Amino acid sequence: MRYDLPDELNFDILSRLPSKSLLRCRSVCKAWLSLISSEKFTAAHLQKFNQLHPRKLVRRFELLKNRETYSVHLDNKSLTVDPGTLITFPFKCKDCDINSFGIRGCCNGVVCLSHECILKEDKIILWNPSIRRKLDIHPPNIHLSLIAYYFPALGFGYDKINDDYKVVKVTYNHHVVYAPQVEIYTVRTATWREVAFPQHLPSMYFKGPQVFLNGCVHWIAFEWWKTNSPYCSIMKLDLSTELFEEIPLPTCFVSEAPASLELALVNEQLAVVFSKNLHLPRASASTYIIWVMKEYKNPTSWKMMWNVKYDRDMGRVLQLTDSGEIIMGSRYGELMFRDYIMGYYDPHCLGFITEESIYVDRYEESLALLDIGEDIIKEEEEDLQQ
Amino acid sequence: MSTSSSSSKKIVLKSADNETFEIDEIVALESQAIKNMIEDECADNVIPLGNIDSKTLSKIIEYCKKHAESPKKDDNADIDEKAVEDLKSFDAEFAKVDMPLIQDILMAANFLNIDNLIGLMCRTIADRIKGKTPEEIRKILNINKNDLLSPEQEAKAREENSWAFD
Repeated sequence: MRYDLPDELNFDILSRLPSKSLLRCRSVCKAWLSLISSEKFTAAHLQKFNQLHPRKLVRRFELLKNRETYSVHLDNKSLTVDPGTLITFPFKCKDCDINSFGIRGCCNGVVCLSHECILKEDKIILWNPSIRRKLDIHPPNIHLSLIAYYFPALGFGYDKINDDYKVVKVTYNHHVVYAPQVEIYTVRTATWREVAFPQHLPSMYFKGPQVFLNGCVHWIAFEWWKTNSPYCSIMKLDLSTELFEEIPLPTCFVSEAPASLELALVNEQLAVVFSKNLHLPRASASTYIIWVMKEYKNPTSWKMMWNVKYDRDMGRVLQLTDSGEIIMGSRYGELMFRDYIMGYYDPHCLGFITEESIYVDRYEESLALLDIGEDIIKEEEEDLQQ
Repeated sequence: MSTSSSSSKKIVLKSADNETFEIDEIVALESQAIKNMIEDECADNVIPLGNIDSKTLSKIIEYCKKHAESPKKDDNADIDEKAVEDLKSFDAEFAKVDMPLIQDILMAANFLNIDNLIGLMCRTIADRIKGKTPEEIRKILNINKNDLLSPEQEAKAREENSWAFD
């Protein structure tokens, strides 16, 4: 009997396969090649495969080895390492001593990286580790040398309406203009374009890391200069319409120090995490208060979900799981003792990790950037191994 | 639950090779297509299934019987884990058949609209081709030779993602 299933069933079968298998399946026959190459399949595969195999991506930077370490973990209580999915970090900054690329956002299996060194922060890469594709993004038009007062913020996400990935850069150059300067890069056009920040919104500083939800990038935003206490809020940018909007925080957080607030996701709902132990040298106790916005964009639906206290310093909240647990400090959820150079010592990775270097997000297999990105050349990886 | 009591309503299914199968209505209701027919009252006593042979149909009935007898998830929130495990191992055993039969069952399940069975068969095919080379996949599935890529297309596909073929 010859293989002769209708497209809908091939669709169902193939969307259960990991990206690497799909790259092989493209060679099986013409029908599969065209099916796997379709936009509709890419979307269905992203949704189905990752729903069946929920996993987390953990990134660390080992200071002593000057090395990025990536690992994929099963989404269970102990975040067991997935032995079948090994990720080698393929990028190297040739003219810089520190080889550290921070994750600015993850969306549809694409990781948006930028170099951590402040002089190289214009080096932005989009990377799909599941198919080893990368896309180097040329630097934005507004450069750091012009910037005063505050670090730029990056945003990254997917514009569903235009089937396009977009990177947002928000810079501040108060010598020229008081409002944030916004530039948007779209993968389809491969260009940066300036977008006016609306005048009716308060001119705020944006703070990463971002949260991508409902086609919009969200940042904690704040202003200092008008009153003695800070004014904090959430700023969101819709990547399809490219319009900004402010979403108020729960009232109790509005005047908190911006550094103590971070955005997160719980069950596809926007959450804000308040950490009371931050920036204290050797904090003896930590408090985490987490509010969830039950109904998107409705500030009256903010609800306090957790108010937890520990009698020791638990470190940083990295992510909230859908079942409501907090992933803290290290990937093992253990407290690492605080080193005097502001790093945690992780006995599992044999090297200092800088405090801000641990990043946890969803790991998703996808075919994004397959036709646009470049294949990561093997030599590049081997070069890195040496 | 009344599953196989003699008083329950019976449905007769007729295969392509004219074999008839008398089953309880509740078993037949596992098929959304048959359910719709019964609800619309356009089902006679005998439902002819002209594109499903008796070998495939008896497998499908075996599956529907087991699943109709098992407690449904939405019936009761705290179904004992044993029933879930039992159904899981039944499914695993059920799928241990050769590829042509899997494809027949899948086509029939698709026609009869039996969601869980479609899922089970698709998962089984996916598991069998996962990690295999294109040559192996063509052999496992018996892919039509007229639909193969040209040598140039194939070389290009390989070259673009050579690491995936290692």
